[in-house]
Amino acid sequence: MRLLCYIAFCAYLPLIQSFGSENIIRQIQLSTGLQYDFVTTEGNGSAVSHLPVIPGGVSYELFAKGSAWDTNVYFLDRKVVGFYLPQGDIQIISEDQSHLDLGENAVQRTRADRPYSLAITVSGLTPDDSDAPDAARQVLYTHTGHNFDTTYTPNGNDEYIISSFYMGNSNPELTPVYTQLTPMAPTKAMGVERFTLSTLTDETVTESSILDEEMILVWPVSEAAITGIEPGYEIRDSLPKLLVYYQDLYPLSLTYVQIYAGGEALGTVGTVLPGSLRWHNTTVPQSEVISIENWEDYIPNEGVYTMEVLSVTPFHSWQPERLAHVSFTVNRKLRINGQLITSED
Amino acid sequence: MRLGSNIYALCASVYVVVILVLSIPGVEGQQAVATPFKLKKNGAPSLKDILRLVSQAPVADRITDAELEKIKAASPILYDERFRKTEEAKMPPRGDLYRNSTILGVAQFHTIVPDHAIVHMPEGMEHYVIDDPQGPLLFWNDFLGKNLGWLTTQEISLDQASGKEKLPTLVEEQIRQSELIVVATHKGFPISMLPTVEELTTSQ
Repeated sequence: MRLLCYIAFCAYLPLIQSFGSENIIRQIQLSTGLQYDFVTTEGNGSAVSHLPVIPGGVSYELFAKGSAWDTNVYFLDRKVVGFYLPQGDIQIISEDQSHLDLGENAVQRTRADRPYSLAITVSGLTPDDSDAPDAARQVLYTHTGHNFDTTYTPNGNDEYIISSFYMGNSNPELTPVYTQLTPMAPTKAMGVERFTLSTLTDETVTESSILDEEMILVWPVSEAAITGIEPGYEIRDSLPKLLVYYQDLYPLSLTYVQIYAGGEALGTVGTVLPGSLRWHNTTVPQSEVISIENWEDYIPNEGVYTMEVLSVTPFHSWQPERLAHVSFTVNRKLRINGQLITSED
Repeated sequence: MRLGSNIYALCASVYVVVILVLSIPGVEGQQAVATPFKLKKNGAPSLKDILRLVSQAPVADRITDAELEKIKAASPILYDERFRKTEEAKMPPRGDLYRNSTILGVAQFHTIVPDHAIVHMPEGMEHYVIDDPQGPLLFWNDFLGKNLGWLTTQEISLDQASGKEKLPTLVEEQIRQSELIVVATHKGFPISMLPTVEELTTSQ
């Protein structure tokens, strides 16, 4: 029996190569060991299975090369066609829905401090209380983590198990779900979490099949720092040159520095400083150091001023979050300490 | 602050944002994203949307590690009775590209072919089969193209690969006489070649 085998290539950006690069589809007849490694450059598509499906099942595995500097080959998916084939579906819902415009297989992303939701559906299994084998009554649900390093790829880090459960036919929803990536500072968690439904093995089919696997990229919470001016600093004549550090700006974000008169008060709308505005629509977080110069026009009067770094992201409904702030005083009055001396002859 | 200086600040702000928007690098051909605003062809928001975004009041400070730890501790993932914990932690299925594969390599790089895909190994060329990968992995077509001096292929059918059908005698003879390593392929890609029933019986 030939099988029309649809294989959805997960756009696992940036961990796999972009459309047009090479992938391997490996087909194995499990009972005979006959193996066929087929190389394709298609980003997605369907093809008739080269190997006939026979009792014992046929396994289809998908591997792809990383992109850019990442020369590793990654396992992406496995489907096994056999006698028991339950249905499984996992949906991840993140606040950042920008993946929708990158195609139905684009990977969702979130931030280390933001919750997301899971909707899981398992069907096609025999009832739990029947005498059928385990593989016919339940599937395996797993949650794994895979930490990134500063290259924004796993770069040799191993995938690790976070939790694993057996499930029968059911459709639970889990919310809120905060990232479980460990071990790292909570706000700097960075990596990918995968949720997988897979079949159990038995005598008839000796390899597990992935029914569905969804992943979500987790990026760290942005940071910022304003240097060159300390809290409470008094500006008299010369204006300090400021450096503003933007660290791990979210891949889809608008970040800027604003200034306003008065002490710091969250919720104040100030004036945007020239050269500070940064719009990003990328695949990985962005970091940068910018210089703020010639900003005397923004402190026309004497008194207290506050400078803030703000960032607008898909989180908090696209409203700004404050990453850093510093308040200082402008005092240009000239004080003369002196003495009036007269002399009399 | 007096009205006059307020207007001055507003005009300066608009002027600055205009200059900044014009200088914001965008991405050519960037598609629009699921945002509450449209993107221009260069991938950046419009001036109107920039102004709207920066005119919003900030709603929160960056969360601290301690605050986030507290929130996460108070909100564990709630697995109910529909989830039965496994006796020990189980990893999901993960493929291993090198499993059931033979590695062919030269100093700079290597490739993999399915086990039993090498149908002829001339004497003295066994060193091309290696135990551990060396250098980057090249997929079959690239590797073959770079090593035609010692590597060649023999196209076979699926029936021949699965052992249902024997290779023609002439083809078998050509393979035996080859001075190159011969890899069985099907439509150009390596495939295992299983022994026929006759060959299995003979070997027993």
